[in-house]
Amino acid sequence: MLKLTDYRTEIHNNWCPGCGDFGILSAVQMALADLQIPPHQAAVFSGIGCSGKTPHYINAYGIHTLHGRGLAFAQGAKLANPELEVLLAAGDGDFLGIGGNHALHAGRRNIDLTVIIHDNFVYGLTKGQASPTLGLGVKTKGLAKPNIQQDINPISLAVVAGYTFVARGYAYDTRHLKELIKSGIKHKGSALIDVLQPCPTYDDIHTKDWYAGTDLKDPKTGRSMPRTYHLEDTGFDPVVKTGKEEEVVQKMTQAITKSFEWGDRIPIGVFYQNSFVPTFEERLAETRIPALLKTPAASMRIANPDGTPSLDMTPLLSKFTV
Amino acid sequence: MSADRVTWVVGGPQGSGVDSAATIYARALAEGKLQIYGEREYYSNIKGEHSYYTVVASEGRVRSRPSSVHVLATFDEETIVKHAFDVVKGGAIIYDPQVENTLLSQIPTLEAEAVGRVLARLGRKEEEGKVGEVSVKEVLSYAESAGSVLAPVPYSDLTMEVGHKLGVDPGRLTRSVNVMAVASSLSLVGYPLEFLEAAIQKQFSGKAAAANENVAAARASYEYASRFRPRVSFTLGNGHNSEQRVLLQGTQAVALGKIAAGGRFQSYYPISPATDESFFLEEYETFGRGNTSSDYFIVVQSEDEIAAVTMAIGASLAGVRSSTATSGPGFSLMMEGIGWAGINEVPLVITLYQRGGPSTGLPTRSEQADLLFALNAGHGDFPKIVFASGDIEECFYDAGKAFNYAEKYQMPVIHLVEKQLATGTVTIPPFDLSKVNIERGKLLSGSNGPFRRFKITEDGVSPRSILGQEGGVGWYTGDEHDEFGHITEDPDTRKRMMEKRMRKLELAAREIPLQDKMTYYGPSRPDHLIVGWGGTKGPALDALDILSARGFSVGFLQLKMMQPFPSDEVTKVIDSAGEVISVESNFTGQLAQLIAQKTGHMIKRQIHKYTGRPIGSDELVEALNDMFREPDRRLEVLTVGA
Repeated sequence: MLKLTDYRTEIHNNWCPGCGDFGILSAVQMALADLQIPPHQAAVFSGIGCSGKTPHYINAYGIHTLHGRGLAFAQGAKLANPELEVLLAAGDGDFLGIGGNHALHAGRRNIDLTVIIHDNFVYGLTKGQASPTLGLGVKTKGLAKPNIQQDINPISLAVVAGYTFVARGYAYDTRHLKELIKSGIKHKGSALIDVLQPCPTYDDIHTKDWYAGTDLKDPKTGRSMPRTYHLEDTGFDPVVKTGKEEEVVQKMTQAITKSFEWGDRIPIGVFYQNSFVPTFEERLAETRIPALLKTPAASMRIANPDGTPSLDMTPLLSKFTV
Repeated sequence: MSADRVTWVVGGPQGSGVDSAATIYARALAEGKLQIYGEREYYSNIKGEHSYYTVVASEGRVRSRPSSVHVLATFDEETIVKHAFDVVKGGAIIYDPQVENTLLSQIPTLEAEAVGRVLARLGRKEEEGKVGEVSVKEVLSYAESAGSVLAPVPYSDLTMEVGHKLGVDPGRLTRSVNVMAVASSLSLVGYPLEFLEAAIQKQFSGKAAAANENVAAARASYEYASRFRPRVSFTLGNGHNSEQRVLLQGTQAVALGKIAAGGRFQSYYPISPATDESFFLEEYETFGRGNTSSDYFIVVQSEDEIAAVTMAIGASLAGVRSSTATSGPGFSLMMEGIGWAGINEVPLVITLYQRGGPSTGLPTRSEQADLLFALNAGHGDFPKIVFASGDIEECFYDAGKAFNYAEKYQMPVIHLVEKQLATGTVTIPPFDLSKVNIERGKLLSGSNGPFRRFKITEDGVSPRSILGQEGGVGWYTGDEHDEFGHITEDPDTRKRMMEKRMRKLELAAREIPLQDKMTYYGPSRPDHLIVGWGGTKGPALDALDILSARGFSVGFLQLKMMQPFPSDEVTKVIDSAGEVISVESNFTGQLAQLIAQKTGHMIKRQIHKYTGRPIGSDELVEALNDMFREPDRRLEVLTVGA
């Protein structure tokens, strides 16, 4: 029985006090423990930025890659060994800015992995520039002028790009986030979870208090009205049941519409899930390489004990013989 | 007279069947036990621009292309005006008589500069208004007066005739024009028709109707063209060496080399001329064994080259021999991935098919201008291996060695190939798989406490675990890191890690045998030493034969290993020679710069070519000859090739 502590490392964590990353880190560790995934079977990738440090704090294979490229590394690893549990701790700028092209095209493949976007609207590690998720005209603390570029809606983008599990979580609703991550891991295909999180150092707008709605008082009780609410509590059904095109389009449209709800009420939970789309691995296995899911490329024998190739190349080489 | 080598050029608009004609021609020669060397030239264009294929045939091994042509087969006017002047005395030009009256001004794809060159050859002054009046016929007459045999072959009449005979729509037979050009060509030099028929049967195996039509078309044109044979001075008989050979292109040799050596993952983004390799790997992803094969190769077409290189790194971390293949513009995008693989000591193979640069440059032409870029790829100091193949046979074995280097020394390996080799076609001895030795380097076995992926070791190489391996959990980061792979900025650890990584290059320098670093050909103390690399090997060795026969004392040093560079050994060879001349397909003499940097020896006399066309043996012989005679000549620039 693996315990939560089995997923922790002892190295010094240098995120700012109060950073939303702590909530995300805990949720990932709890999800891995709940699912009893042995540390050596999990590979946690990341890009660059504060989120990029996540793998170092998790006792599992940790691959802290290049800015925006975590997803490409992760896909290569997953295809080489489909038995690996592959997660990506991405940043909002990392994933949607510099890594936008990879973010987009991964949806076309639907490789079985889970992307967790640390979405705090700013580039923290470079001192607070606007990230692609910051709204037009918003001026956070670190900005000299209000943001002059429009924001990307990660949920809509993921749905349209082809991700088959799309959700939004909140870093300080850790148990809820843990469940989202578990569902994402269990989902067969590319799962994307956009996680809202405060940046206490550079974002004075989307603060913990703002999410808690301390500025919004219930007229009856006088209590704060939290901005985030759970989609699943409202009867919202994100799951594609038949896989028929009409239904898929309806569920996608519903998810996109819902993803634009913002301001005083921010839905979190699963927006869209479609288990009818085969993964890239399944597509290859079903149509071309059945062995792919039986023997991962990583465990394929390539050499005889004497170092010569174990593959009999006669059928291939005979095509060139003259 | 029977030529020692027969050079055949076939040309026409892109999409007109030039490639398939060349393939059938090469196969027909191979059927007759001849050896061939082929080079393909084409524009970055899908249909319409001038493309041509040169195939040199010989009983012995052929390594380069002479500039003179024995038989020129043309599918259009442009091929006539661009290549007729290259045809030797007693050689022949095959053309459709319909094109004779076309004026140069009516050839839309013919560049103004090319028109200028034609007029100059005809002895005409390029005057305003006069250009358009010159016809293809004048070019042909000029060639005829210079000794070429004109061989007009009316393809459309012949297709009508054959169609009538077979009772098929002659329209169907227009697809056989390429075979007809080949048959006419072989007829002119008296090469037995039976070999062409055998090649056609193989090419169209399983398609009996097409095979019959093509054989009939071949017979009719072979018969028709025989009327010109008596005037052609060259004959081409079949060969007698019945040793088995393989006929293939450079990209195929690299792909086969990767498969043999256990490469099992390749990610790529489409780019000329690298794509053919990945395409081949995908086509043969189960190695020709169908979908019941337990062995397979994963090929992923990624969204860009950044993803291509980083996906390959991801797959390598998971334990698969992984690679990517690209050309200059794509390689430019891969820099950050190469640096990451460097600091994280990930085995990674990049096959870099050099083409004309900078930027998109000459997308479909050959050049050797990425050597220094490859050596300096990625920011910061980190070890990588950079080496270059000299011919298509080397490409096969080198593709496999690249994986050994990558895994033994845990670093990126850049395997340099050029477009000239990538799209070249040759006959070579069958690959000897017993020479393919798979060495996977230090791997973690068992587990013993927390795993130190980057353990400081004497030779710099630490045993590595693969993702998913029990007992091997560790971390990777592009930041400087400690032995466990966690980020550190500690100055002492930084120093030790930097030294550990760089020590691996010294290890590689010690372990890689000299024959994989360089090869010297020639007498022990030559008066003249030619130094070159990559595709220069073929023309240089051919030039060596010719110049040695003329009494010159010449040697050729082929450099393969650019990093780690065999400085001492190169110095020894240079010191043993009277003088040194470098030969490279680039503008700045990049190998000469590298030699200067690594040995302190400045090569003062250089031969460069940067037209995007490969160096031919004749032009190299002439240039060297001139330089041998005139010791003051510092630079020769080669220009042959349309």
